Amino acid sequence: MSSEKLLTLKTRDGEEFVLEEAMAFRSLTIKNATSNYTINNTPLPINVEINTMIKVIEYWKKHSERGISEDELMNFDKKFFKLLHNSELFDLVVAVDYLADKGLSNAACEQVLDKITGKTPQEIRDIFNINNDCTPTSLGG
Amino acid sequence: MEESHMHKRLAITTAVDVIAGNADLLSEILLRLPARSLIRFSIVCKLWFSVITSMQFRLSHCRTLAFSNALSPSGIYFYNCLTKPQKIESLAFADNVTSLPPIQFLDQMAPNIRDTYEITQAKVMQSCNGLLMYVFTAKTDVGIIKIGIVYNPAKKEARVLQSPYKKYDAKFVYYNLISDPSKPPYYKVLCVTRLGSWFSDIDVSVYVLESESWSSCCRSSVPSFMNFESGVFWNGAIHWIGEYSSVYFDVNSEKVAMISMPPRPQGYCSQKIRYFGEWGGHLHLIQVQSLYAKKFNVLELDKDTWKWSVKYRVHLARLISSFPDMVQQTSFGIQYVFSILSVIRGEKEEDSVLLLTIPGKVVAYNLVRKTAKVVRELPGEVGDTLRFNHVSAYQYTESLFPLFSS
Repeated sequence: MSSEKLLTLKTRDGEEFVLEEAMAFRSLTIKNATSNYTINNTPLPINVEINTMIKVIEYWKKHSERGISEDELMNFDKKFFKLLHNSELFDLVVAVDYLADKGLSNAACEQVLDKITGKTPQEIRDIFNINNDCTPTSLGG
Repeated sequence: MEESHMHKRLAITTAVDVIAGNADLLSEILLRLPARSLIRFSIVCKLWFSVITSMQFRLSHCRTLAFSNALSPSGIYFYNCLTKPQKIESLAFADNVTSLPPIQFLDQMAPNIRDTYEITQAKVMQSCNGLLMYVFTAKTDVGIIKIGIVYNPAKKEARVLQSPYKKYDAKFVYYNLISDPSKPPYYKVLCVTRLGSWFSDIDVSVYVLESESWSSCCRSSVPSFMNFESGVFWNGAIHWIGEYSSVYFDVNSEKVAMISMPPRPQGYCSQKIRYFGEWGGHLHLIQVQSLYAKKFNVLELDKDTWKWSVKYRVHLARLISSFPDMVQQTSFGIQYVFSILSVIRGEKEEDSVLLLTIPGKVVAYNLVRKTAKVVRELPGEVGDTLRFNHVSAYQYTESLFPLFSS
């Protein structure tokens, strides 16, 4: 029987949703924000979009499961990240950086790392959509 | 449907731009890359270049590697004792690394040094956490001088040190390098000078980076037969070894002290020390009984008790029977020809090897499984017995280590 405290959050694109406080507090940003509010029913605004938040919550739910083994978690993580497009992965990295969840942040950064390891500079530019503004002289010393 | 598709397109630009444009977030990701990749990626764009070459990033990067176990060497440089003069070679460990950056330092980097001095010898003397101590000896009008250079082979950066102000006969001047990326000033250079009528005293001076000058730390008397040419940095001190004694300079206390030596193997031989070096935080010593020795022990110094104990027992009989070139008939009997390059501790104990030069080859002898394999063919010939310095291999670690504070 859970007498879990619930938290209402509102995303950047206006969607409201309810989450168990314990799970939401995996985000230091949310945790610190709620300590400044008295818990009433006003939704807490967070600077993340609903699509990305859904992914974050999916990850949090799995990693909060009781009795789950290391192997199962590893398999979940692998599948979880495999299904993300580059754009979704970048969304996740930015969101998790904002939310300040060290565990998920590390995992997401590692994924970005995998994508750029061993690539040539031009391939990196393609992935990140960067313009090459370097000229040989500007890289001088 | 179309609207959300548009929305998604905007989101792509936003998130990527945020990461690519946010130096902190970018640093967070890039800090996990090895130095080799970072050097390559510094040309992706101006922002990446400024992030990667910034002092803050470079120091953070060194600290990250230092605290994780990822700071293991990706190869070694060593001198091929089969060639005269000894040529420097390199050996890469990782599969995806074909070769180490060449040390073409004098030719490319310091033409004015080469033109000013008549160089008689130029050699790597020590490596420490990604930096090399390179010393060249030169003849000038006023005598022989030794100039020390701190060199980062991954970045091809060098810092030439001013020679010590007092004019000692440079034969008795030795440079040592300490590099510790976890605390300021991040690297130090020591100069050990022999003094006194019987050269029984030493002065240890440290290089003051801001003023490019030397400042004396301490003077101490030392036992005879100490060899200060190649120091080994381990456990917060530079260690030197001689046939009968071992001395170290503690970086924090700036004092010189002695360590007790292990029992000296019995046998008729004046030079018993064949190897003294550090790997992965372990300090090792190899002494042999004589030039006819087929077996010896690898000793390790305990971090807490500072006492030596046997870590591995090596028996080369099987190696010798596989490589009969190792057997040399001399007028004093049969000698076994090998020169120890390094004890390499693996991440897993069973991957620990002893790297040796034998006639025509470099061999890796697995210290646990006692099997051997050839890792490199070497040109050159055995003159008399393979001449060995007890430090002749220098670890290569890629680091973005900055040599200048600007």
